Amino acid sequence: MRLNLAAIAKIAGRAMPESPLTRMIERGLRGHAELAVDGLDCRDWAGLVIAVFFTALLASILVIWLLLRSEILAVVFAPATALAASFAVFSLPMVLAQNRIWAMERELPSIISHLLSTYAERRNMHDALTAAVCSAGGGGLGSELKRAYADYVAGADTETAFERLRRVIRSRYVNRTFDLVIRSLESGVDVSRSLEMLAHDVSKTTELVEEKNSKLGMMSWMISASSGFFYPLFTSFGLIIMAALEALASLSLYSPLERSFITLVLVAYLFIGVMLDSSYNGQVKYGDFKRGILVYFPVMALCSFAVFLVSYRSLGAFIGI
Amino acid sequence: MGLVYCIARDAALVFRQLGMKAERILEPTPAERRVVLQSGIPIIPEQYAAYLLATGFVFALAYSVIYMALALIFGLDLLYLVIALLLFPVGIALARFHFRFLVNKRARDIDMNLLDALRHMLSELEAGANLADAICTVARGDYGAVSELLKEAYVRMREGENVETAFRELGERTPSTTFAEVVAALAYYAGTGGNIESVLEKRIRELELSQRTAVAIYTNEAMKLSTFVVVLTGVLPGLLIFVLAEGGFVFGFRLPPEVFLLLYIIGFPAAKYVMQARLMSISPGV
Repeated sequence: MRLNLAAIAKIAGRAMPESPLTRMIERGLRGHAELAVDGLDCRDWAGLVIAVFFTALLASILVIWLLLRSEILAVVFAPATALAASFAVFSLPMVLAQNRIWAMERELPSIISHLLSTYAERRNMHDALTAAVCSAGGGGLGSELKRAYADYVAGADTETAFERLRRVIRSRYVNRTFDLVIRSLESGVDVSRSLEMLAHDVSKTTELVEEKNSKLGMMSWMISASSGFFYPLFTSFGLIIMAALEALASLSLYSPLERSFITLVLVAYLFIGVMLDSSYNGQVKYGDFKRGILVYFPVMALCSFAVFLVSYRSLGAFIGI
Repeated sequence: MGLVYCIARDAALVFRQLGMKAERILEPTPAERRVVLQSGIPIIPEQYAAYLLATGFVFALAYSVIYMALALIFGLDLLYLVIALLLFPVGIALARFHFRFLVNKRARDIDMNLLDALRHMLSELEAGANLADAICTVARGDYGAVSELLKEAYVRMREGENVETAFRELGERTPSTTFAEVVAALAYYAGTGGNIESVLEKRIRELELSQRTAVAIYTNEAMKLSTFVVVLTGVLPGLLIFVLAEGGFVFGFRLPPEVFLLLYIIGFPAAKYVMQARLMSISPGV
C-alpha cells in the first residue's frame, strides 16, 4: 500500500509543475513530509495533493450528477468534495509522521536501556552507542539510529550525523535523548542518570497516553459517528418521509423554494457539526483543535456528505421519489 | 498574534475614533480583569470590553446580512430580522465564554507541558547545571506556554531581578494553579538556598499522580457530556426533521422555515460548542 502510494506520489510530484500553490502546500507540509513515508519529500506530496484535487473534481462531478441528476448541484458540490479530498491527502503526511513519532517513542526506553547497560560497564558513550546500534531492532527509531551511527562512524561530526534525531523528528523525548548522547560523546560527561530518568519518563507518559486513548477512543468515535453518520442518515430519512407524506396527502407543507432552503440549512449544519467534532477530536488526540480540523474535517465531511447523498437517493428511489 | 487580539485592538481603536470608551459601556468585573491578565493575550481591560461589544455587534450584523440575503433568495419573512437584537447579548456572552475558554486552554497547555519541563529541568540540574542555566535550557525547549513563561523569567533574571521576585510575578500572571505553586516553591528554595532538586522531584511525583487522577475524572465527565453531545447535537437534529414532517401531517402544524435557520445554524452549533469547550477545558494534560 505504502509502496504504491510512494510510486503514485513520485509520479504526481514530477508531473506537477512548480507554482505558488505547490510552494504553499510544501510550506504547510514541512516537518511532516520528511518523516511520513521514506523517499517522499514535500514536493512529491504537494504534487499528489493537486493531482487528487483534479481527479476528485472529475469523479465527484460524475458521481453527484448520477446521484442527484442535477448539473447545478454537481457543479456546486463537486469543487467542495474535491477540496475535501485534497485536504484529506494534505493531512495524511501529518498523521503518518505523528504515528511514526509515537512508535519511535515506544521504542525509546529499550534503546536507552541498551545504551545504559554498556555505558554503566565501560563509561564510554561511543562503545555504548555501538552496542545499542548492534542490538537495535528494525523499528523506526532503530533504523534512524543505525543511519545516524553509520554517518558518525564514516566521519561526519556529531551535529550533522544526529541532525534528524535531534531536530527533524519532532519528539521532545527523542531529541533530548540524543542531545544528552551528543553531549556525552563530545565532552565525556556522565549522562547515565539523566538518561535513566528519561527512559522512566517516556515509559510513564506512554503508559498514561495509552490509558487515556483507550478510555476516550470509544467516546470520540461515538461523537464522530453522531455527526458523521446518524445525523445525515436521519436527516435524509426526514426529508424523504416529508416528501412521501406530501405525495400521499396531495398537499404541501412547504413550497419547493422553502424546501430547498430547509435542505440548505440542514446541509450547512452537517458541515458545522462535523467541523466542531473534528476540532474536539483533534484536542483529545493531538492536544490541538486546529490540527483536528485539518486532519479529521476533510474525511469526516466527505463521509457524512456521502452518507447524506447515498441515503437520500437510495431511500428516494425505494419509495419512488 | 491571535484573532482575539486583533479584534480587541481594532475594536478599541474604532471606539476611540467614535469618541467612546468601551470600558464605560461594558465595565469588566475584577474577576474578568484577572482573567485578562492571565490570558497571555497582550490586551488591556478597555480592549477586552471593546472585543466583547464588537463580537456582539458582529454577531447581530452577520445575522442581519446573511438573513437578508437568504430572505431575498428564498422569500423568508423579514420579521425574523428582530432576532438580530437578541443576538447582540448572545454574541457578548459567547465572546466572554470563548475568552474564558482560551484562558483555560492556556492553563491546560501549561499543565500539559509542565511535567516534562520539570523533568528536563531536574535532569539538567542533576547533570550539574545551575538553576539559571537549567531555566534557560527549558525556556529554549519545545514546552509551549511553559517555555514562554520561563523565557520571561530568565530575561528578568538577566536584567538583574532576583529569582524570587521574577518567579513570584510569573506565578501571579499564570492561569495554572499548578504552575503557580511550582514557581512559588522554586522561588522560595532559590531564595533560601534550599535543595531545589528534591523539591522538583517531589513535585514531579505529585504531578504524575495527579495526571492519573485527572484522566479518571475526565473519562467520567467525558462519558456524561458525550452522551449529551451525541443525543442533543447529533441524533436530535436529525430526528427533529423526521418528527416535524410526521407531526406536521398528523397534528396539522407547520413550523416556519425561518425557525430551522435559528435552530440549526445558531441553536444546535452553540450547544455543541459550549459542551465541547467544557470537555476540552477539563481534558487532562497528557
